[in-house]
Amino acid sequence: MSTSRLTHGGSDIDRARPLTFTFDGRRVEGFAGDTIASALLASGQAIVGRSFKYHRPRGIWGSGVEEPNALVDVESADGRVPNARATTVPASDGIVVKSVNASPTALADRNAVLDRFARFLPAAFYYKTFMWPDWHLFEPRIRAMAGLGVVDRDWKPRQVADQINHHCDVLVVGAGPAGLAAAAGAAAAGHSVVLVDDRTHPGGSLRHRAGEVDGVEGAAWVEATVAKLKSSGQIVLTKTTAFGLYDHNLVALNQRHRDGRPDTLWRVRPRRIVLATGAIERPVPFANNDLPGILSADAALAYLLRHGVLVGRQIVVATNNDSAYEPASALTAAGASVTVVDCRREGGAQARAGVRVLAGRLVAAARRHDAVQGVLLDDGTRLAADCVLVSGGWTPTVHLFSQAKGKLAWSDQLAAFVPGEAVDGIGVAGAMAGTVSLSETLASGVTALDAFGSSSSPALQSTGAEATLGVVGLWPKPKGKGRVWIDYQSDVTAKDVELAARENFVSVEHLKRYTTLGMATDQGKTSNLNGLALLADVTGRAIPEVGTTTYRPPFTPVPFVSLAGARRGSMHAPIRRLPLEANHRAAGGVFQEYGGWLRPAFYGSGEARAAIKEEARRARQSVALFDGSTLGKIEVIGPRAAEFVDFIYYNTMSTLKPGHCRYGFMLSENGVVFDDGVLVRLDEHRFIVSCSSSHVAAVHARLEEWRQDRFGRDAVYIHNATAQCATLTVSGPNARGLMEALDLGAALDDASLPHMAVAAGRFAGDEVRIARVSFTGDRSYEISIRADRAEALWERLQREGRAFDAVLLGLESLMILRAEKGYIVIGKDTDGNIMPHDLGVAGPRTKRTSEFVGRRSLFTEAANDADRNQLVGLAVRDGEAPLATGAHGVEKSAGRLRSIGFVTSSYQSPTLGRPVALALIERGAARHGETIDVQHLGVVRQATIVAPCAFDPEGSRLHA
Amino acid sequence: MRNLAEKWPAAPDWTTAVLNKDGISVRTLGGLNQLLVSGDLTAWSQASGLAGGGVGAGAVAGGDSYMVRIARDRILAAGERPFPIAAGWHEAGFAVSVMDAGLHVFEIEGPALAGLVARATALNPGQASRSASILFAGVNVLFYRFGNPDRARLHVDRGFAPYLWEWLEHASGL
Repeated sequence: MSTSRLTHGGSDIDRARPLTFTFDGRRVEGFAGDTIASALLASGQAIVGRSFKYHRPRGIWGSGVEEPNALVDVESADGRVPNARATTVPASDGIVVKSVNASPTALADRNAVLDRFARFLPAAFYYKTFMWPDWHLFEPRIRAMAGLGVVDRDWKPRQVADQINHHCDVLVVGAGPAGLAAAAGAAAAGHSVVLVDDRTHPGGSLRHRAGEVDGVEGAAWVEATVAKLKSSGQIVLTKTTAFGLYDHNLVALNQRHRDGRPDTLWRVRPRRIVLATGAIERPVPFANNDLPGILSADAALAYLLRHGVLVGRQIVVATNNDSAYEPASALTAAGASVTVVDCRREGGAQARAGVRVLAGRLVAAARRHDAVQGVLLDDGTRLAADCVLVSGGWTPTVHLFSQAKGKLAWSDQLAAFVPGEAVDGIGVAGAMAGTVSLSETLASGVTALDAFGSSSSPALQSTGAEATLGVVGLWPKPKGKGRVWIDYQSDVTAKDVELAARENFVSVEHLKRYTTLGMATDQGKTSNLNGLALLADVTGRAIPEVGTTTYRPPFTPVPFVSLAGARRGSMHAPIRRLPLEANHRAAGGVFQEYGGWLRPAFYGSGEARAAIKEEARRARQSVALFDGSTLGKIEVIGPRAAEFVDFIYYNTMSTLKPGHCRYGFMLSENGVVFDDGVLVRLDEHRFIVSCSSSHVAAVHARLEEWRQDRFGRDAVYIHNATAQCATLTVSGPNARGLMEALDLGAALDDASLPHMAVAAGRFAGDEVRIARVSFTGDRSYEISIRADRAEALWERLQREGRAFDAVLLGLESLMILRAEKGYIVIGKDTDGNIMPHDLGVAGPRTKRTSEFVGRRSLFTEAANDADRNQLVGLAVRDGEAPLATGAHGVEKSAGRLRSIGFVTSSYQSPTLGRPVALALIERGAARHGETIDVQHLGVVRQATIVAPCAFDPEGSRLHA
Repeated sequence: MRNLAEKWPAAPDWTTAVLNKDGISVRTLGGLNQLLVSGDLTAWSQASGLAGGGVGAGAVAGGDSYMVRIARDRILAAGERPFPIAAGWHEAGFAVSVMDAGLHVFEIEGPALAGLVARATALNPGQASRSASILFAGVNVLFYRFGNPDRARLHVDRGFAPYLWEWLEHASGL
């Protein structure tokens, strides 16, 4: 291949601005406006990469997003971008470009030897070869060999990627002649327009193919049209790919920048979409059609006219259609010797002077060393060539149309699939809609706006030469000689497709997965149609009968940094913050995430385990202060509120008197315990659901759902007021003393405020709610105060607490205290099977007569199973360490170990001086006193089943 | 045990924190009285003296007290003075909960407000929305303009206020 830069020409490059970069360590020169690919071609670099599987040498094939071969890692001051397409990345000064899947370089790849064993490595060989003794033995090595570019694990974006939502009347995808005609028409009709194109410059084919609009040369018409759009306030985005079309015609755009900024993600919601996405030239099937030096004829024309690059001196063009003659003529005019091998007997009418045409002939094989050296025709003729251009017809770029669930229709005339029945809100235009001539193309741009309205100004006219196609099918044939490449990027040959069909993978979706045809970063843009045409031939079907695989976003790869935007790091999953977080930080709180909240796990700078034990010990001895602000505070208000909570809860709640609260379960429809918590009744029509901290959103949604489904709009209303109040808990033997020191204006004696009662008080002028509920087993008070006034109360509690040796309690020590008492945490001490009677709360199941959520499921065969797991405590022998949470109770059955349940919570109790554990064990409630085996990581220990409550089983401390 | 307080920065002092960034100024609006009201909104209007149906997302509110529409039977009443209406059920047919401290209020002002809205929300600036309840930077908020088109108020669950502040600090393109 003897590519070279011409001394003149190249509409995209600025010869006054030279640049240099390196490719695989070699210096490459180019000009501003070059892509990496055009600069590599201009410098004579034939081999730019190695194929995925066989490490065959590969050269540049295309000039845009369709490029299957020229993937490179690009390193610049902004970091490294892996697997960039050399055809779409601008060349710039100083960048370091490396080929992918090659070691050390694409030119001298030490793994090239793999190609010699190709006959032993057909499609899916590893599915068959590495199954014994275990695929996982081989998987790491195979995965290490796979993959293309190298990810820079230390890379960090310099800034957050911008993400923009935008609304407009018309979004036009593709700024070729059809797209420009549509955009101009829409703008003239007064619509707001966004026009996007994935190239650096708008214009599409008019930038390198002949065309004239209204007497103006094509490129000049493009410039004038774009200028007019911009001046009228329309948005024109170049270097921007519409990569996904989603529900309700939301279109996602990937906008690339040249100044180091991460790509911008646009989410555009237009009223109408015009898809003018063009078409991609297909390869021609012949043996060795993957050699470096074989490229798309249209790409060769683009490199010639846009970049001033001549792709060869002695060129063979293999084709089945008229569109190959324009490149042939242009390359001849540029000084190359060009022979067109046209499979059509009548081909060649478009040939200009100097172009040799061999009509009715086929290229059978490309002759090779590392790059193409010539071709062998079907009649045995040998032609010398340093470059082979291929034009096997055009495949409309229907990806976005198909993503919108548009059906495709086969066109014999075009030998391609084109959009079928129209999709609401979407118009199609240009080559993707099957137009060939510029007249048709311009007209289709206006038609695509039908029913939406376009300008009434005179239609655009093509006034120059009109393109023709005259394509005939030139598809891969079974049982051909040599290796005919179907998919360059996935290294799929015609023989692989035949093999798949022989093994009965005759669905196109199965073919894809068996051979990887159409996978990888190019998603088969050049290969799909040839692949399914061959499958059709092998299976005796017509191409439309075979159909296509499913098109899914993204059309081209999109960087994760762009998709993430600001939602990364600490902002990836927003976490709720406590009203008193600053106080907890100041007190030395060590924070963890619990159920979507950032909460203190413990306090102090000491070793965690010791600090947690000390907090738990002191809480039992004196008084503990705990921030329980995360507890749910969902208000249920309305004339049927009591009936509603009865239905929602497992327990009867309507009998609760105002000023009191009750513990209860909520069940799922399948009878499983969904949440537990305390229900407070403030007055006849107003309740507060104090659900688990991590379940607030889910409980709120459940309440709202049942309200709407069963109770109607006038019966009850649900207000999530969790954030309104902070809840500060005072717990321990000295709790009442500390509470009295606060002087909240409420009587705290047991007669006035018994356990599970609620009172109103005041602090610093604000009303507070005092509830006597306990999650520690000790006398406890929960004080709820508006969140923005909680700080003063918390400080007062700590100040007054000094006289009582008060201790700040983190969540970890609270977990010890509640486990000592056998109090459960839903989701930790229960799983997706546990029903209330498994927890020892069977009363409502047997006694309630009214309906409640989950009721019917409590009487199924499974619910009545005698072997259900039930909540128990586990005790270990004196001096032994705590059991591991998650350890399984086991027993031998038929010579094998069988799980009989598992440990859900396990702690060393500083108060009891021994471990405590909760577990779910088969028939556990009836097995108290029984010793079972407990296994963890292969070690078996013994534990005795006991009651869940290990501390103060009489409950006297609640009133102490 | 890793202290995750290092991962999430402490919230600023809301009473003084101001974010000035490329044509946008953000501060906390303290002291706004807020009531969540559901039910018969006509009855509520008669009881409260607040007329209208409440502003939707992007619409302009004004005055000492006003209503922000959340759903067809739910509004947030906001005002500089306390509303003389008790929390709980009202026989006229509406339920009231106090949210004075539950919803943190940011006031955002500046000529780049439209750019911020385009980055934080999927709102169509050319189409009125009946409800002010939207996703803003991924979290539920009530969003509307106040006084003029370049000033907005945003009510968010107070637990998410530090996140939104961090998002506003880091979001690109503002």
